[in-house]
Amino acid sequence: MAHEQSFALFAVFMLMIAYGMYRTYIKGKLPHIRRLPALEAIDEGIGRALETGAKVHFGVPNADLARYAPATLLALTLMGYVAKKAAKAGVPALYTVSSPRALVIAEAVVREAYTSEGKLEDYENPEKVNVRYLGMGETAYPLALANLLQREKIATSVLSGFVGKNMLFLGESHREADTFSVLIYPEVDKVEFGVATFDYVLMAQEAYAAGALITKDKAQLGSIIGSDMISWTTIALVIVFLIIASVLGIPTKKFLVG
Amino acid sequence: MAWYRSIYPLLVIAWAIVFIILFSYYCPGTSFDIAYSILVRWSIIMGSVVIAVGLINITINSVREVKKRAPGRWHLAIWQLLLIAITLISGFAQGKGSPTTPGTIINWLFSNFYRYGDLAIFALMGFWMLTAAFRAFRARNLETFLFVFGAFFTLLRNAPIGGLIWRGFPVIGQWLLSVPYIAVQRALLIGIGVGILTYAARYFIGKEKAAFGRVE
Amino acid sequence: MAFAQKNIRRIIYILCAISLVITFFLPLNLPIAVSDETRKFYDTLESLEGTGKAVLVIFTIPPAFWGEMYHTMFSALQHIFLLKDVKLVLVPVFAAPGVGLVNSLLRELYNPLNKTYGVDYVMLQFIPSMVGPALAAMADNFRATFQTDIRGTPIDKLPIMENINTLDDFGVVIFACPAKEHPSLAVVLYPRYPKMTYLAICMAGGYMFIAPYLGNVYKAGLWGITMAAEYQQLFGGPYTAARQQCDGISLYHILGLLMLVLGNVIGFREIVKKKGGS
Repeated sequence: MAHEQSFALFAVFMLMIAYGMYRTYIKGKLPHIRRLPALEAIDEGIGRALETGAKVHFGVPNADLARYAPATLLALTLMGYVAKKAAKAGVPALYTVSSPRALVIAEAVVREAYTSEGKLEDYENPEKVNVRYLGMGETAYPLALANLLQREKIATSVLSGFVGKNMLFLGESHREADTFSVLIYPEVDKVEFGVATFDYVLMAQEAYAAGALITKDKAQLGSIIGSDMISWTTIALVIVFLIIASVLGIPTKKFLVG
Repeated sequence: MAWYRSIYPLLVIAWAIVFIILFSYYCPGTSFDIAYSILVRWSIIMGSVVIAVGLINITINSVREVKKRAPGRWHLAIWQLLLIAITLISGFAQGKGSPTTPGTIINWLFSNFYRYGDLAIFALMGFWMLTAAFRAFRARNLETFLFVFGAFFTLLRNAPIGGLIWRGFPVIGQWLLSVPYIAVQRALLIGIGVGILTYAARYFIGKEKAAFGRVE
Repeated sequence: MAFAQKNIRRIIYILCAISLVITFFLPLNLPIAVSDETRKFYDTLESLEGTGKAVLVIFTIPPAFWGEMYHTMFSALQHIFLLKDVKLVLVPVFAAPGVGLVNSLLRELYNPLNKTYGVDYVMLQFIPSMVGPALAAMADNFRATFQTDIRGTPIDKLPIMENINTLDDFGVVIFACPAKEHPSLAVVLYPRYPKMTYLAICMAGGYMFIAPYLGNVYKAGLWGITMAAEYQQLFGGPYTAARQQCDGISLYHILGLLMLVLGNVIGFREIVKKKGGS
């Protein structure tokens, strides 16, 4: 698509999101958002870890801030959320990433989460809280995690970020270790394997919405309204171009490529 | 909290970088291109430095596992430390160059160990796929029945023998793959694009603090 | 029965290994029908014979995917080498290991087919950036994007690069990557060069990334070992490893089907038992 057209579309979509935030933040109209069972499952998982005395794990496979920046940053947001919950509950936790760049941010996020709950001494105890870099690339991390799941007592494992080709490997590793698993996957590659092997899954747009839901912040919730408006606009555009191309017979490439 | 410890100075830097990248994309041939290439170089340098952080973290954890004699892991931790040492020493001994430079030690390690290891791990997918087919692909309700139905025809479409059993199998499988599967994938991809835009909007206004190492 | 249930994973792994290995000793030689897509890819390359044009192959292949990509890449490159008066220019992008992998593939081809590096084929310097920016740079100014080839020789000294200045000087552009990067070509390169002929090479699992572009951006595509085997049949190449592997693939998929059916039968029995019990 030509630069001008894509910029215009980008600007219109951002205005829609801004409108959604305005509606919620300024006018105070909170949107009704359906339940996301996977988010509730995180609480259930932490409860499970507390009962069994085992650890909670949060992992970010493929934490590549160059290629998968939105998915990785979302995963780090969720890591902060899970860290706060784990700190509050007092369960031992393990946080793993597959990139040194994400490790630096993960350590800061987890430290801040534990500090905000007044549990800084837990963060400084490596037996209680450990933030680990397991290895880069799409091969090292799943292998290392599979090994950890077998050897350490991990009751609940939450994975977020781009998983990709190792979805089946990670899912089956969790099954073999009998670990309660939640996948928050803001992508579409191999998602069918995730749905088949993980206990709870949030995929695609739901995962990004979860990033807003966990904060309960008005502006963030308003951005979900904006994203819904964009989705409806896209559906309308698809139908319009479908009619133009099929019924009227005008090649739509002209509008898009020029 | 002092202003320099708040999120706002970091947000201003983030805004500046985002605008440079956006303008260099939408207005090519301007001085933003030079700024963009400088930023890319800085990020490569920072990425290289940060690798040292990862190396230190992995070394500390491995040494801890060895000291603790963590059951089932301490011997693997020793092996990991040994591999780190071998890679570091061969990299330093080589000096300039990259894993693609033929005739170097790193290239030899890469071509004869890493490459086959990577391939072997991907090949394990075959075993996992069969286990998942037996254990996970079970029709319990309408959605899972459609899942199994799709898996059945996709398997027969991918195998050359499918067409020999019945000519219709590859045709149905191809239709399922080309029409409903692609349609759903495209819809999910558009949803992901929308999700990324909303995430970016939240990031621009400073609501997404994880990128700056903070929590809500 | 209890033994089977307890060791089901081990049994599945053994059956999987047997299904793949048995065809090395007992080849089934199942017939393979050539699909329309394979024929389109073949015909597109065949049409270049005698034109003196070059084929540009842009590739980014991580090692994990080489097992599958090797066959399709081998088939396509072998075909290009067999065509009269057609040159080959390779450009490695993003995935550094791909350079060594494709180099090892070329070593199998250039000797038997008497091809000379620098005259009949060349691999230009590796572009470490991501695929999108690399394609954008090539679209802006192809010649200026590369100072040397992969061996460090300045491209002005390479006879093959004499008449190549822009992308328009190529007859066909083939983009070989496992999956995710294919939309980059459609978004970055295609709008700038809509009249160029593009071909895709990817894995069978990457089909979803090229399917929307087949027929409009990409003229044709090759995905998976099965299509590589079909391709080999078309020009009667001496290479039969893809053909051999198709037998293993067939047996593996039949085993997968059996596991699917067996799993569902067992699951259904359990549901009936539970309902009967309650």
